[in-house]
Amino acid sequence: MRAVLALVALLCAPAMATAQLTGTVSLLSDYRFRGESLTEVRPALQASLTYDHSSGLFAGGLISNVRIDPDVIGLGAQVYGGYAHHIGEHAALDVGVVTYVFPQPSSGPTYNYTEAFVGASYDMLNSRLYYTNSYFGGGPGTYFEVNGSRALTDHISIVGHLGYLYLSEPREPGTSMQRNGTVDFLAGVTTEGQGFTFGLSIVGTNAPQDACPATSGRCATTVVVSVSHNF
Amino acid sequence: MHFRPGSYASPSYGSGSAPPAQMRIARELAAEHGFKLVSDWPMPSLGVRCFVAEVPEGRSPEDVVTRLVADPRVESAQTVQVFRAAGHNDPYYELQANAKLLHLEELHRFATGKSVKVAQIDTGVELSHPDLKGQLFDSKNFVDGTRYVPESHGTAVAGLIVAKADNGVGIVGVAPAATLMPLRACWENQDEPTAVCSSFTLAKAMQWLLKNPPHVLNLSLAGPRDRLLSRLIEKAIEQGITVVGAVDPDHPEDSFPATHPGVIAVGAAGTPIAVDGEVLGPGEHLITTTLNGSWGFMSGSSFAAAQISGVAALLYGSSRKLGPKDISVILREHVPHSGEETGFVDACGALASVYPALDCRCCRITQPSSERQQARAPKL
Repeated sequence: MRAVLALVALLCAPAMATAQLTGTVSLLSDYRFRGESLTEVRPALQASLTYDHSSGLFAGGLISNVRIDPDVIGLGAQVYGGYAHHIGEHAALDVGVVTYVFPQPSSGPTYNYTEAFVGASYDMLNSRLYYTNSYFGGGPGTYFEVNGSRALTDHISIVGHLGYLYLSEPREPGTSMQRNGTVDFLAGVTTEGQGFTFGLSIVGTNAPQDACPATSGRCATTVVVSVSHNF
Repeated sequence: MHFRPGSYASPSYGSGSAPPAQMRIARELAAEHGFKLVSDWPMPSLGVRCFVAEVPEGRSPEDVVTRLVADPRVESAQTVQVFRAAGHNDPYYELQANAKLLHLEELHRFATGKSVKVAQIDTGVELSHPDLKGQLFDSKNFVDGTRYVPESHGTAVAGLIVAKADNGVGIVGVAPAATLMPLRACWENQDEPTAVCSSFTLAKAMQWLLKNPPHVLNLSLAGPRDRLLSRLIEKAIEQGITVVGAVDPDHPEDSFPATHPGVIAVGAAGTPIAVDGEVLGPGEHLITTTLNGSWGFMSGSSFAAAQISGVAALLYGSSRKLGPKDISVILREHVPHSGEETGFVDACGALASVYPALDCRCCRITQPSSERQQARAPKL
């Protein structure tokens, strides 16, 4: 046993390098955003980049194929920036802005919008509050989410998410509001191997008919399979 | 720990693997310095993530470490050290109760270690042992590629600390109302009677323990001084954990972590003091829990340390204001001397210092040598 161990060395790298650029490429069976499909229940290929500065400032972006309706098909993006303040070793607060960009519809208003967020995290648990004055190009929207994960073994984790969206106005101008508040959830498991992370989750929302026509399936509870690679 | 974009269905919620940047740095280092990454583990208490590197045959790990230390991307690097679980594991025929030597019956009228959490980092404990049932919580394994298995050393150490009282079977631990967290970071080899641990398995257990802190930590193991473990032990003491370590009488210079400042160094009574500030505990013919639900005799500083951890739990249970330093001072102040000889800790006297009502006339330790004579028994 000694002979084997004698050939082994131990090195430790700082948890936060002075500044770091990280990226992820993911393939998902469905692009669910707050419970709703942004690809009309089709697969999505996504790439994201995040830059973290040692001061706590961070910025990044994500691009993905989207298909919000037959008229809005193409590449969508999220661009964001903010500041994270670490409190001790386990906790952090963050604040920032994220802009969502979607293909321009041939007629009618754009779905693009910007929202601000504040968040708090402790270990593998985080919560965040978002506000926009024009949710997907409509009226004001407030969204609150709690996310958590727990490692079951070195390579398998369970993940969970619960979100609450409050809209004061109907999404489509002139239509009636079925419900102001909707809840969405995710429960899943992730596993890692060969440099890839595999995910399997159940996603659902109780978003009303005006947001999700039943025939579209975009708000139906579904299983999402994903594989991603960090670099 | 901040906002990340994308579909939340993507598996990005802090999984167990290294964050990409650290993993990438580790991969680059592995390619540049010619080693293979075997495993990784976050050490948030030190703000680092550590990687185990396998150095190919023909290359010296010391050379690789020297180069890594000079690399600005590396926070620290070291060779993985081997630690031995201290003690002889020698079985004995004749029963000599350490309970008598420590006067446990009298002490337990005042203190039993109720609500005190003790952790041991050792080999596996037989969790189903009838004398340990209900006494253990949060058993965890930190030895890669193995499952938590019951082993001799860990089971014996656990029994001395917390074996259940008045259950009609077996023995009474020094702190029978305390609960024990048995962390397995050492393993026993089939072909050798010794148990070993490595810097890495011990560091993983320490990291876990810092997130789930006990009041007392027993480390019945010894090896060369280790930088990463030193830092984790300092964190533990800073957090108010009383750390007890066993002195290896054959290699006092390699008796880390007992030699680390702030750790209560414990040797077996009858052996010379080898480490500054060392205290002694009964160390021979100690009946304790053994594998397969039975009991047997053990000797050695591992088991002396286990009992001193038990006494530390009694002290902490008696006064929650006591910090690691206070407990260390109290124990050292209650070491009887007889000429050149040093006896083992006077547990009653130590406890009386926080329990004025405890009358130690019943159980004053008279001469260290006479007690040891009583305890001597033939080896198998």
